[in-house]
Amino acid sequence: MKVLTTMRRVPDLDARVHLRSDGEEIDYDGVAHKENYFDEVAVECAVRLREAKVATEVVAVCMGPSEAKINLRKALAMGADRGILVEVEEQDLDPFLVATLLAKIVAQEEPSLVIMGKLGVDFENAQVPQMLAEILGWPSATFAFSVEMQGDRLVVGREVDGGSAYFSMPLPAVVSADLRLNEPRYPNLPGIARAQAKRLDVTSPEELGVEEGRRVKSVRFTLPPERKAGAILESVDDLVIKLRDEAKVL
Amino acid sequence: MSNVLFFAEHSQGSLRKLNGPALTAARQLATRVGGQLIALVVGEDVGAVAQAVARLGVDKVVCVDDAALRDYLPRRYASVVAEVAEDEDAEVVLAAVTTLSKDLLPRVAVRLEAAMISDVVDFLDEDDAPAFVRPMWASKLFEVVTAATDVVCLTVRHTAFAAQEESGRVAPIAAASPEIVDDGTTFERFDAVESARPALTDADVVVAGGRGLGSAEGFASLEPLADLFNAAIGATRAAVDAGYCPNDWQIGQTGKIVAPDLYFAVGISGAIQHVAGMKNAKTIVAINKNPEEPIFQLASYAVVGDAHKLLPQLVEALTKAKA
Repeated sequence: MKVLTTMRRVPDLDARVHLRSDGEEIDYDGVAHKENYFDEVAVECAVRLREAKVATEVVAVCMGPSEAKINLRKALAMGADRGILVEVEEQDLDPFLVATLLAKIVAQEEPSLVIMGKLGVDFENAQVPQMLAEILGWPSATFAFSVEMQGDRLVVGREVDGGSAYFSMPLPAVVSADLRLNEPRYPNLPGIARAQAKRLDVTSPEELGVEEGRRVKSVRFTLPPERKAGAILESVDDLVIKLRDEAKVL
Repeated sequence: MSNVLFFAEHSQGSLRKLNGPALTAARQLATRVGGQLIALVVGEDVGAVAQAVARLGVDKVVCVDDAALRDYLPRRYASVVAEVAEDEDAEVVLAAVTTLSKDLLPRVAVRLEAAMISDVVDFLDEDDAPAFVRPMWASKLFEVVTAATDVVCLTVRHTAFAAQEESGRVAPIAAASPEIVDDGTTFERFDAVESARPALTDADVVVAGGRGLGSAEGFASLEPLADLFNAAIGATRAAVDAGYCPNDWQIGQTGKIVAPDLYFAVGISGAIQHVAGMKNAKTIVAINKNPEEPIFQLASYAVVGDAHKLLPQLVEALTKAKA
């Protein structure tokens, strides 16, 4: 079976955030970018299915600027067979627009399984996998910590409030990857070398026949007030006095 | 007429506590759009849940009670919520942020051709249109967004709103039986994290530990401190990764969001992924042996030292002070 997976390019969360045009946009100048961690987990899951001979081909998809080819190459270096870059300029694609574009790629590629990160660590919407599944009319399992084929059904363990829940579903299906699913590998040198020779197609929303389809408009960004650092105390006795007399929480 | 549909989440036959603050948000929106606030309860044998939410200041409760809805299944639930939203002329569909609502509402939004906005913490007016404020980038930034559609689906953070109190009024409860769309998914089993402690999202006091506690045994040394406050125990992603505790205890960007009155961060460095989940705690106490860690920039009070030595001392001093 063919597996489609995703790799997004995201800013480094530890970077200092600056805004421009009165907060209308985020200033990404000088901000390092890297792979979205949850997508790395998704790619790792897809590659392991390939290594276990459950999957026959792994196709990695990325939506981003031309620079994101580096990030897509990392997915190839980890073991994905080929890549598709949907070239878009903006950093902040509307999740519904992304799901619509992915649905077009799914129509072309006809995978049995789509596995993607549960969220992008920058905008934190956590919407695209569910939207994609609903657009396609497919089952989905989000926040997966285990993925396993049992006969012709996919059994997924999901992180849910209060514990772990297991679901079984027919294919094709969409899965979103959570932290405990695996620990993504670091690509080794042969993997990196092979990745350079792997096929990487570039397409665009126009070529996929998707016009502007935003449902959420970003108006502006604001920075939260800085929290003032408190007191470093000498002993736990001092701490107890502060908690009792100042914070009044005892 | 345009209304607000509130998806009321329940667990083991009771309404989850975080519905209270989310209903406050729902009421604010209903006032803004000039419509009714309608609560929706979905499940099997959920009459008691419907009666509980009917007392929380809503105008009406719609109850969809069906054996096919006993367990949460995404497509079944999405079809039910979307059809009720259409029948009730809902302009807004909202729920408190939970792992269930995060999964469900993006599907509902697709069915309703609605905008989907996650993790809302505040409402504003932007050129007479409602605008929504949501944290992003591990809460280092807020984004203000508006919907480009007539209908909008929202998840709201319960930590950002005060709880809706019980009103004297009991809203009428109506049964509905929308079509349930199935996709062949079946629920297999649920492995609960057993704990006698309050839920992380409900607790007034949270005692959280990080990688600095060194081991699962070290992590367990948080228990006596938590006992003193009837606190929930939380953890960083690193502590979960290291296997010190269950994932359900994870606080942060990819775990739970909490805002308790008192938060103990023990052996926690303060990586922004963790801080995103607890920075709105009222009083933050940090115990860490390295004073250079970022948690000290956030803490109201901090003590530098080895947690394994300081924790028993702290428990003893607190026991005396509380006596």
